[in-house]
Amino acid sequence: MNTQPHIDRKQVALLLDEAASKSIPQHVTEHLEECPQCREQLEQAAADPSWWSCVENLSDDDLHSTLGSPLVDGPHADCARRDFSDLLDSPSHPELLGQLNQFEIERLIGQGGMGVVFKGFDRELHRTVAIKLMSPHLAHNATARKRFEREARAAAAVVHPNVIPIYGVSHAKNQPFIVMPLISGKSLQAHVEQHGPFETKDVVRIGMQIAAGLSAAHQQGLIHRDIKPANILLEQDVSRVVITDFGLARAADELAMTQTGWLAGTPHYMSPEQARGAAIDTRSDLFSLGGVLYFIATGREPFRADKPVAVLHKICSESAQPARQVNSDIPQTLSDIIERLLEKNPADRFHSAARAQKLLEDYLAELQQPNRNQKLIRVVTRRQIRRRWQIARYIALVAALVPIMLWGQSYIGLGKKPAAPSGSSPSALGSPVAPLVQPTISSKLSGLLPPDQFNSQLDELEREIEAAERALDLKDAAPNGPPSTPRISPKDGSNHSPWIERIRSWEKNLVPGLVSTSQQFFQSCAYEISRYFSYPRCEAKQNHAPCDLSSVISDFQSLTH
Amino acid sequence: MNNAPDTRASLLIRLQRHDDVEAWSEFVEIYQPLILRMAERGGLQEADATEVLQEVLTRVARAVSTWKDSGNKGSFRSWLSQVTKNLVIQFFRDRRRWPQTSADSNVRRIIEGQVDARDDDQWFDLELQRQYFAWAARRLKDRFESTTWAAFWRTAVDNEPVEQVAQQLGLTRGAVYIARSRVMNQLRRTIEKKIQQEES
Repeated sequence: MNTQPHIDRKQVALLLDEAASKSIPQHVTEHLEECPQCREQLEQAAADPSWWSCVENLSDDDLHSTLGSPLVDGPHADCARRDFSDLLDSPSHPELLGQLNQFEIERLIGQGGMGVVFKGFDRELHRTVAIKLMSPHLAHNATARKRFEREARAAAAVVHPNVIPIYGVSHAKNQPFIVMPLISGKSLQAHVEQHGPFETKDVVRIGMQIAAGLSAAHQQGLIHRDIKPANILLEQDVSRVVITDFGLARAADELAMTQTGWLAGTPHYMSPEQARGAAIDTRSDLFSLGGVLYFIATGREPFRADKPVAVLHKICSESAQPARQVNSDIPQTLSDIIERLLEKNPADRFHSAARAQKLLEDYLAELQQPNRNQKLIRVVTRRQIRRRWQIARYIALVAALVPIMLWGQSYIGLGKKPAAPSGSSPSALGSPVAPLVQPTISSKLSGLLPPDQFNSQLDELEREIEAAERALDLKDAAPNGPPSTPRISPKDGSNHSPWIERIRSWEKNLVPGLVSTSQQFFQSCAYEISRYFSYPRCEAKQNHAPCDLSSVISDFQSLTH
Repeated sequence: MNNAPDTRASLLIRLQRHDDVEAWSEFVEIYQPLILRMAERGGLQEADATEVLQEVLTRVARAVSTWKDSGNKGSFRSWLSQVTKNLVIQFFRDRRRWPQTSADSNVRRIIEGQVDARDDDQWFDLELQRQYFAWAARRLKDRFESTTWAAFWRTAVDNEPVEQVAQQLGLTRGAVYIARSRVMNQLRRTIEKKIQQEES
């Protein structure tokens, strides 16, 4: 029956080529139907048999990418049914889960990446406690166990109302555990999930308390590393927050260095330096604090993505949308404070938790006195500063170019026009502009710096402002110094005098060469700078009359000397 | 040591470059279902499997910091595949070894009794191959006419008789033979191209 010739290799290639689909002769398809040999040849050319057999294992599900399923750690709803008999001694009472040394374990109250938390009762001291056991997959590692105990002891040394106290560190069945008071209340995470974002005042108050707790820990050299809403408990009367899990993150984190692995937990509040695996210091906690405040103020995390790795990527590379843009009830000042905390570069954040605490404290005082018109607390974010300096450069350039252009124009006589309108004296060069411009120009040009020098002067000034601010922060953070003086007071002016010198020379060198708009601009720069130091008098001045640079400086001097 | 500013090893730094974001998301697209299936095979429930998935991916992301750029383009991807394979297999072996980790004792019994760790290597390779097919299939499906695709899928994947498929699709048997080979040819070329990119 099959009279057609077999298909040759050239034809096979043609058959597999999609573009040729229309031109397949009917006799070829008919031949394929009859000739197993040619069918095999065709299939073989498409892919060898192992491929065909592999395809048989596919299923319809495979056509839908499984991506997009949430990967952040969800609630461990199923933990209640788990069997903890491996971890605990058998219970003394059937209602209980088990025993650990002198503690009766009543029930499981939480489970996180690093451990499980039980509600327990101390038979010896007759009190209810929370007991945190290290996760078994971490506890099997001796190094991690030791680190867990060491860090827990260090955390126990932090005594502060906003840091959870640690009653003791102990171990049973070769597993370390921590004993803490049982706090009745919800985590910030749970609170926001149930009730939505907090009011501004509450956000500021909570932020102030977290910063205070962090500051106490930082003074002991302890970095939390895992500040997140789930780790901050709100006591039932909603007036006090307590930071939990101090130091535990480190035990788990350093495990990665030793060998096995690392449990992510939620990456949303990690600082960029942490996400990159770079060295971190206390300012990493400040970034996380910024994330927490963002979350409790807006109800959403600052950096959101469906996969943890994508979140980390955003943390490292993108700026968070300002909180005020998410929730317009948030005042600019709070939004700016959060933005400062969320700066990528640690040096751009507040330089210590103590400084953040003081600022939030002052801000809260201001919020609680709504009658006061004058707003004292302002935070200038780096974004704003950077924008201002860009404008400064632009204006400086324009200021330098415009006179030159005008001068050039009048000099070569481009403005050859009929005589000036009556009343104005005719110019020698015939330009109506010249008489107005020329005398000014000649005097301005002589005092003008070349643009590149001007730029470098601005650079220098910018650096010095940062240095001055750092000095101010460091002074705040120094344990011996006065703990809370974010504003310039007459006594500590010495730190800033080089900076004031700088402004003066800047004024002397730069300002005379500029047209009046840029002079005004520099005055407003000076105003910003003074505001930067929360210098209230200038602020008041700005509200009433344009302040000029020299009066700002003399005001400064009267305050600092 | 790992703080050196020029550590190109950090995935996150690399991720800031566009092509590496792509590399990672393609990586996750292929390995995520694989890891989930491996967890499922180990008798883990969905919630646990997701947890395992996150941990493995995080470990991989961490392991990326140990990567040394040998200068070959694409070597990062093949290195990543190898590391992931080692991590996944090791991870599940560890879980089987620690009696206390899988809290549910039924799960433990399943893991210890029924799954032989020696199969892992082979299983992983097969599953990886399957995921490559799935990856390519998702990309190619819409490029073919629906009857062409159906002719392939129903005969090659679902193993339906050619006769029946041809009749239902209104094609001749010969056209079905050609259609399925055509799709297969494209699948193979797409996958080969990807693997070649990864290993070049």
